Parts: sequence; structure tokens; C-alpha cells
Amino acid sequence: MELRIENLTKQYGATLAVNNLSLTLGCGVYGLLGANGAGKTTLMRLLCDIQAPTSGFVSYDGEDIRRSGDRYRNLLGYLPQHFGYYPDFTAYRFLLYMSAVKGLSRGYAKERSLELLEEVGLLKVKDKKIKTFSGGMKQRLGIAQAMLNNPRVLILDEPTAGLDPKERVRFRNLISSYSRNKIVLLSTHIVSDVEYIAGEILLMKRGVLLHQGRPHEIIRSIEGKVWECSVPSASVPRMQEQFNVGNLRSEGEQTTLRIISDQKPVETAVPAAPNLEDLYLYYFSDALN
Amino acid sequence: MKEMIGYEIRKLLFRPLVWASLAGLLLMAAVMILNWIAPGAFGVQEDVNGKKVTLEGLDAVLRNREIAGQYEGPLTTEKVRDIIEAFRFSQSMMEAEGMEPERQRHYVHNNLYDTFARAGFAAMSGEYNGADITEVYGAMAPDLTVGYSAGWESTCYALAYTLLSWGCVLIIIISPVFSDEYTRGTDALILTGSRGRRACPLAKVIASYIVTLGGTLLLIGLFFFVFLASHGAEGLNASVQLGEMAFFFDTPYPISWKEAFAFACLAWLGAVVVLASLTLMISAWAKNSFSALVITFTIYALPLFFSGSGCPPAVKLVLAMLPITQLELRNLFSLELLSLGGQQFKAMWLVLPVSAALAALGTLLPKRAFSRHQVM
Repeated sequence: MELRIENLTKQYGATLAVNNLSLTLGCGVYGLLGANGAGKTTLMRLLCDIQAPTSGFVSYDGEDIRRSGDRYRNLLGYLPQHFGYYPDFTAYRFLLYMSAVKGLSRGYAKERSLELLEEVGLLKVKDKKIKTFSGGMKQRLGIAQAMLNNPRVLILDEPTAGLDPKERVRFRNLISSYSRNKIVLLSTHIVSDVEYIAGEILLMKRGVLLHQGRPHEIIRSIEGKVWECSVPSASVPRMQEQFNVGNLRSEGEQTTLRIISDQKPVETAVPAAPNLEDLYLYYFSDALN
Repeated sequence: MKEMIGYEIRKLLFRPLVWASLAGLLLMAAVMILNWIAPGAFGVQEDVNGKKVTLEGLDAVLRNREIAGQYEGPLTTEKVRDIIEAFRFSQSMMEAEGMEPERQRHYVHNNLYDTFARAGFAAMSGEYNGADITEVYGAMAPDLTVGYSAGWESTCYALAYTLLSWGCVLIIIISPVFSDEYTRGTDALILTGSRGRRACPLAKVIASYIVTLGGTLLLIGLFFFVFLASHGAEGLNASVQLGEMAFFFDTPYPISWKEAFAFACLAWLGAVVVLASLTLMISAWAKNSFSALVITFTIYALPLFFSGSGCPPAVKLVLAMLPITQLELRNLFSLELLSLGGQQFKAMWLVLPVSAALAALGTLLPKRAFSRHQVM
């Protein structure tokens, strides 16, 4: 099973949302990291064939997904960034409708919908209208609909947005247990989500893939660039202006800063072991500012 | 597919705005039925031995049917003169009732008297003015038939204007069929489903046509049932030109109510099919449900601002074929007979190929547009 992206480009006017991107995805969970506007959503839409590329192509097991059409869509599950729903449908009816759209038989659709509602913790409210749901509940319903057809390729755009920490843990476990022999690509801003479940991380910036690798490998790329130092609290604003500051912890008159910098920021700074959050800040601090 | 059509019908109908507009339409239908069909605003005033006898509602309907029964058959000048003379009020009765004898033509008498008096057979004072039927109805006059027209005419009138409103409700129902998916963001979910690009848009189109034709047939059936129950099926062979409201007065060829009502049903069904097709196309091409609604309403209502008078026949024909004018019927019935290959035929028949062509376009183009839609 292989999803191959070849020289994929998507241009909107003068903006290159995805710029000549090539990549091969095999079985496993991939975490797509990037700041807003990095092109993550566009890439996911191209992979779902709901946007046509300006150039390049995506193939699944050697066949262009635009040509395989329904055959590819049979294997696909997708949760868009902004999950759309019908407010007057109940959760159960919504899943039955989506099952019909995915071509599942009515009997199987009923069984699978109930199973997924149970898994995402919505079974008790299956007959309630979606408009009465909280943001987290809607998101869980979105995850359930993406998994209805037991997809081989699961693409989740910001799946944990709106979920509380407990729901996020539940989601991570669900994806981990589900991902065997499947391609799962998820984008998120919440670094810890991918840290726990992604076998590989894809770093994307301005439509280009910066890095691809296992979390520990990719984190290693910023080894020696993460520092910790203790400075007087009064100088923190100046330090934040001067350096790419991650976490800070106030301890009375002193504040401990975690700084991501190619050079040692201050004499007293000591190297620290980098993590995925540092990596994110290292590559995307300009976008955050 | 059946299951998907069911879901699509549910999505179309289960919306507060749709319920509100359907409630408004039902209210309007009730008012139209009460005003125009049963009991209706029918009235008969007769001079019985110098005293005015007034009948209203269904009593007036019965009396009109009785009078029409006496004169049923081919239209002749003698018959018209007899009707005018038989039902004209006497001067003494009018004076006794405080009516103005010199303006007798304006008072309600009965269906036949009022039809002929106002068509040009009576002077203002209500007397027969000596006009010949060919002077009023032209060369087709001898082919016209007298009969009970009031029920048919008022039913056609009430239905036409109720269906005009049904057209607005239909736009509210159908315009979001594709565009609302774009607005809600559910397009991304549907288009990534294996049946999302073919079966789903087809189900949407079929559901739209089912709602369109179902609703139209229900309305026609309801009005026709009330009409039959209160007026009976008399006057089937009467000519449409001899109606009191002169709704079809300018139809340029003889046509009976039987034929006209069948054509009217065809025109109404054709018009709603054309409207549904246009709405489907706009819905699939629009960026969101609001713009689909506004654009469709504009296209639907715009012909109201063109009277078509003084336009070349071809333009008149096109105007008559637009949904709103077709629902109103009058333009369609006032068109001259069309010639094709030496044969003359009624313009109403054009409704069939036009509706069929638009239905085909309304199925294929929206399906294609939706399946190629780029999710944003």
C-alpha cells in the first residue's frame, strides 16, 4: 500500500499553496506539522481529490487517484478542517447518510455506525440532533464518519481541534489501534498529538516539505539549538524580543527560559534536550510572530 | 438510490424556512379556495316580479349552473340577445332598490349575462346593443360554445396564482440542494464518498423533481377536488373565451374548458419542471446557498417586469415559456397558433419539448458541476 505524491503543485493566483511537493507514504501514522498557511489543508484536499492540482499527481498503488475515482474513494476516509454537518440530523442518522454516500449496505451501515458511536463516546446521544452537540462532540462525530468505510487511507485535518485533553487521549488511542496496515495522515497544531502517535512527521512550510522522518530523527536535527537559562524576570520581555523563546517558568525574581537558537543565547545558558515543540518553534517561529 | 433520495428529500424539506414558507402557501391556498372556488365570491342578482333576489356562494353557483344549462350549446347572436333581455333588471326594480339604471352593466346579474354584457353586447344601461357575435369574438365566434364557465375559470385563476407562490416556495426548497453543501462544508464529505459524485447528485436531482412534481400535483389535485365538489363537472365543453372574468378572453382560437384545463395542467407541470431545472443548475454553480436563492428569485421574477406587448411573436413565445409567465397561463393562451411544416398547432404543446430539454439539462449539468466542484 503506497500513496505517492509526485511534483504536486497547487497555485491560487500568485500564491503557491503547495510547491512541487514529492513524497511517498506507506502504512503508518503521519503527523503533518506546519503553521497556518503552510499548505497542509490544500495538500490534504489534493490527496482527497476534492481539489485539482495545478501540476503533478497523486497515485495510490501506482494508479493516479483522479483516474481511479470511486475505487480510490472507497478506500478513503476524510475529516475536513471545518467539519460540516446537518444540524437537524441526529448523530445516528448522519452516520447512516454518510454510509449511503460511501456506498455501504444499510445493514452494515447500521452496525458500523453504532460501533463507531460507541467508540467515540456518542452512543448515548445517538438520537439527539447534532445542533445540540458541543464542539468536541461534533468533532468526535466527524472522526466517526471518516472511519465508517474502514478506510485504507485516512486523512484527518486538525482532528483534535475542540477536543478536551481527555477526548484527545481517547482520539489518540483510537487512531493508534486503528492504524495497523493503513495510511493515516493527520495535521494538527497540537504537537503532543503527533508526538504520541505519529510514526513519521512531515514538516511543511510555505507549500514545501522541510523535513520528513521519525520524531526522534527529526528532533535530532535541532540538537544543540535548544537552551535553558535563568534570567531576572525584568529582562524577560527583552529576551523574548531578542530570541525565539519557548516555555518560560517564573520562580520569584528569576525566570527560567527555554530558548531555541542556533547560537548560545547567554553565557549562563545550558544545552537542553530538544522535543517536538521546540522543533515546531524552531521552524515556525516566524509564522507565529 | 431509494435510500439516498429519501435522505435528500428530508434534507430539502426539514428546514424551518421551508416549513414557514409551506405554511404561508397553505394559508394562501386556503384563502384562494375560499375566495374563488368554494364558497367563492359568486353572486347572482335577479329581478323576480320587480323585486331583487340575491343569491351568494354555493346558492349562486347552483343558479348559474341552472341558467347555463338553459343556454348550453353553440354561441349565436340570438342566444346572447335572449340572455341579455331575459336577465336585464327592470328600471322600476333598480330604482326601488336604490340602484342606478344608467349603470346597469356594472351590477352583478348572473354568470352569462355579465359575461356577454361586459364583452360588448350591452349598453351601459344594460340593454342589448345589437352587436353580432362575430363583432365581439371575431371569425371564430360560431365555433364557440356556451356553458357553465364560472367554476372552471375561477379554479384556473386561483390555481395559477397559488402556483405562482408555489414557485417561490419551490425556489426556497430547491435552491440549497447543492449550494447548501458548499455553505455547510459538507461538500468535502460527500465528494470523498464513493457514491458522492454520481449517485448522490443524481439523488439530489431526483429528490428535487419529486418534491416539485409531487407538490404541484397535490395543489392541482386539491383545487380540482374542491372545484368538482362545489361546481360539478358541467361546462366541460364551454369555450374559455366566454368566461365572466375574461381570464382567457383573448385566446385566438376556440378551445373548451376540458382541453384548456388539460393544457393548463401541462403548462403548470412544465413550468415547475423548468423552474426546478433552472434552480438546480444555479444551485450547483452558485458559491453558496444565499447567492443561489437570490439569483434564482431574480431570474424567476424578472419576466414580471416585461409585459411582452408590442414584442415580436418570437419574443412573446419565449416570454410565455418562462416559468412565471407559464404558471400565469394567460400569455401562453393568448399566443397565435404556430405553424410547422404546413401544420398549425397550439403553442401549449411546446411546453413538452421545452420542459423535457430543461429537465435533461437540469439533471446533467448540476450533476456534472457538483461532481467537479472544487472544495474551498
